[in-house]
Amino acid sequence: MLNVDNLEVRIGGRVLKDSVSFHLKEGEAIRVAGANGAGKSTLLKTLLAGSVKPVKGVSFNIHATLGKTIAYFPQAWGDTIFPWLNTWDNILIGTLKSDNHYELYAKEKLGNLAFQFFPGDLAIESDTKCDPIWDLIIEKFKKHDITKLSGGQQQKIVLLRTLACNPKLMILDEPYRDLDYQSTNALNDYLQDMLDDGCSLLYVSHQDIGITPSEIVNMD
Amino acid sequence: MKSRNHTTMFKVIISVLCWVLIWALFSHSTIVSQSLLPPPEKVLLRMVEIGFIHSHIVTGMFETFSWVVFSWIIGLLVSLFIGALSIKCRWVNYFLSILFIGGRALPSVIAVPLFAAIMGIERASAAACSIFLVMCYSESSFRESLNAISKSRKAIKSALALSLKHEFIFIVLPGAARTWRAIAVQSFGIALVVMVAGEMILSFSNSVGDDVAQMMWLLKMVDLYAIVGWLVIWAIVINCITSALPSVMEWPGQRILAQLGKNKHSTMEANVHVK
Repeated sequence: MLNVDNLEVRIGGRVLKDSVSFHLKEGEAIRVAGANGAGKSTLLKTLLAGSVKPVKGVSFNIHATLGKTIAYFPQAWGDTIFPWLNTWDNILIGTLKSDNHYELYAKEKLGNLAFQFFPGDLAIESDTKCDPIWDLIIEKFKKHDITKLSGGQQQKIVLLRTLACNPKLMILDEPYRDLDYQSTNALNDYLQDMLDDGCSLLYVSHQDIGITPSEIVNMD
Repeated sequence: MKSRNHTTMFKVIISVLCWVLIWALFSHSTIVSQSLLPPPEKVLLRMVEIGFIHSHIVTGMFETFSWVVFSWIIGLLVSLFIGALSIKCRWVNYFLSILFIGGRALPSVIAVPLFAAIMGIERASAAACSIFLVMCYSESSFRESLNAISKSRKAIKSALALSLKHEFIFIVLPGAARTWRAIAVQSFGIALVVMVAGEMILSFSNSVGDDVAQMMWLLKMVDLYAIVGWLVIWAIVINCITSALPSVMEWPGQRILAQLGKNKHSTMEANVHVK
């Protein structure tokens, strides 16, 4: 899936880590660990920047190979919100890069994740038979102004949007940071399901979560 | 969104009515002389008099507003260009910032004669002054806004990998709409105030500024208020048109997403068949 050999991670002219190597296979997870400022997020950005210019140390250009099927959740996710769109459109825009925009509606797992992320908003109506699951989500979120949601709720919307593109590789930068306990568990279960389906995961996290990584890349 | 617009409109109408009521109370009481503050009904009647409209509004107002809109648009375009240039070349920003700070500190009663002294007592002098002051107030907003668009473009590009067309529709156009919301009303106000002040100071015939100056000296307060009333009405009309522009800029993005939503049910059926 992704082979990285002796990748140099630098920001501006400063080298943060002169040699990073890891091999991410299908259905596996790799955790990037390290202190604040060690270059964890920069490592992910360096990999993604491969779409612009080839990066020394990466065996192939990941964007050229997996461009449409990479789900990237940035650390500064707040910059990627569209305040002029309603909450539902903020999720739907994540499907623009997929070849089939409508695959989203077939993903029951993602719909379930949305239900678990927003139990107060969606769970009561979920008792009433609602088929398909997305009808209820659309109906609710179309009325929501995303700027009126709390920081944690906005993060969940950005996570749903990130995962809406039918990814083969998920690159998530601190996805658990502002999530409550229940949402953390729900995201864990979802990611584990995706790994079982053959999707790969490269993530930055300061704490151990439910997922067992095959390798930990230490940036210290 | 529509109900919010209606609420805002309702609040504006209520506050205007309150002001008119206070005005009528003051005017009809003995607190202020009617020669200084004529009653609102008298002013409203004068505003719609055919003779008054013909002599003051049709020619003077049209000419003044044409120049205001011209200076406003040119001022904004030049500001946008300089704002973009300042991001690329920092020294342009350092060099011009002193000039713009000076311009912002300069009252129009001083700025207009300065421009007239250099360019002559022409309408072009008042227009040039108006363009300059619009630039002084808008350039920094344009620069900040272009920086913000560039920052969010970078963040969204890596997160969503949008095509160039979608980047333009979902990032650049809405960013421009946000900028427009922030600066349109203020910059138009500056262009209008400077142009009318220029007309008053330089006494151009067939102009709102000159009419206002004459009515003021002759203490023809009903006529003065009637002209100001028309001025306010035209300014509101132009502001309404400009406030609709951001929605137009956001429309293509909303249309694309609405189209995606519309096709949902047919896709659901297709998925069922596949199963």
